[in-house]
Amino acid sequence: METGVYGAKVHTTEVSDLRCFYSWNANRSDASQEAALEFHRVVQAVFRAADMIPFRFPTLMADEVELATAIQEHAAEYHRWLARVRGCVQMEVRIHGREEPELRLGVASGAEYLRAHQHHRQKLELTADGLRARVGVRVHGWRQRDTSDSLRCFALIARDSVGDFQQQLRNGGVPADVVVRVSGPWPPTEFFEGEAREEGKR
Amino acid sequence: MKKASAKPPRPANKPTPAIPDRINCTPENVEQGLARLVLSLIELIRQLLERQAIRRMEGGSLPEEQVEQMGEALMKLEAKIHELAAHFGLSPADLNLELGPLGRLLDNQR
Repeated sequence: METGVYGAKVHTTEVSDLRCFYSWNANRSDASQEAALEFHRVVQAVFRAADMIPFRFPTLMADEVELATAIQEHAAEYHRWLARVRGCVQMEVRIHGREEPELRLGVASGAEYLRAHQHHRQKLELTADGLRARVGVRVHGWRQRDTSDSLRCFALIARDSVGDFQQQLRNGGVPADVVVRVSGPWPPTEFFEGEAREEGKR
Repeated sequence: MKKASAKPPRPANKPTPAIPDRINCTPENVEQGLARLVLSLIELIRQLLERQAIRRMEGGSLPEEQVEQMGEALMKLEAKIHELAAHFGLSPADLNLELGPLGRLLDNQR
């Protein structure tokens, strides 16, 4: 990994026992799609080799002194996060209905409308519960987040169990009108902050 | 590295970096930009009200008459938001604004 965003050389520096990867982009501060993809490539390259905390792109600093100061200030927190997810990766399971949400507008009454939404939400949550049970002991942490039309589930698993996790989720058991999309492995960003909520959903 | 960030580095909350999805208000599309902003906020409030209504319905604290009234109001509001969005050339997905470090507007209703 020689170059990063806009072809700039990727530098490394060590601060408070943390290795930091960065590059200089003196004349560019825009966040184009292309730059974001280059950034993602660098993140994935580092992530393949080590546990890491990706910063949001773009995170801009004036110089190395400011970078070192910022890292030092939060070093204890970063070490704590890395210890929490050591050897683990994050998988995302996105669950949504096959039908368009707008179809619920076609119901006859207000009560039906609310119950249709309630039923939809329950269906997604039951699917998530079923998937969670299926992957069971392989998961060190699990979080769920509602979005406007789907349920996003994040699983913290050991690096070497990604294939097994994907295989378990491929083994059916999802209602015909529900779509499940699995992506990852990603850096376990959902599990850095706050207390682990393995059992609590939302 | 070019300019100082106002806040210390924090981790991205998504695996892929988000590109700020700015509301592009040029003289030609200022109406659409404003409509997108206003409708996004209304849609957020509508979704929060809907969740609250469902919670109250599940908790049994809403009489059937009120369930009907609230449901009808929320249904009409959703239809009207879609209608106005279409009028300004916006899809429902356009109302899910990217808020930078906070993620997307409608994706963080824990």
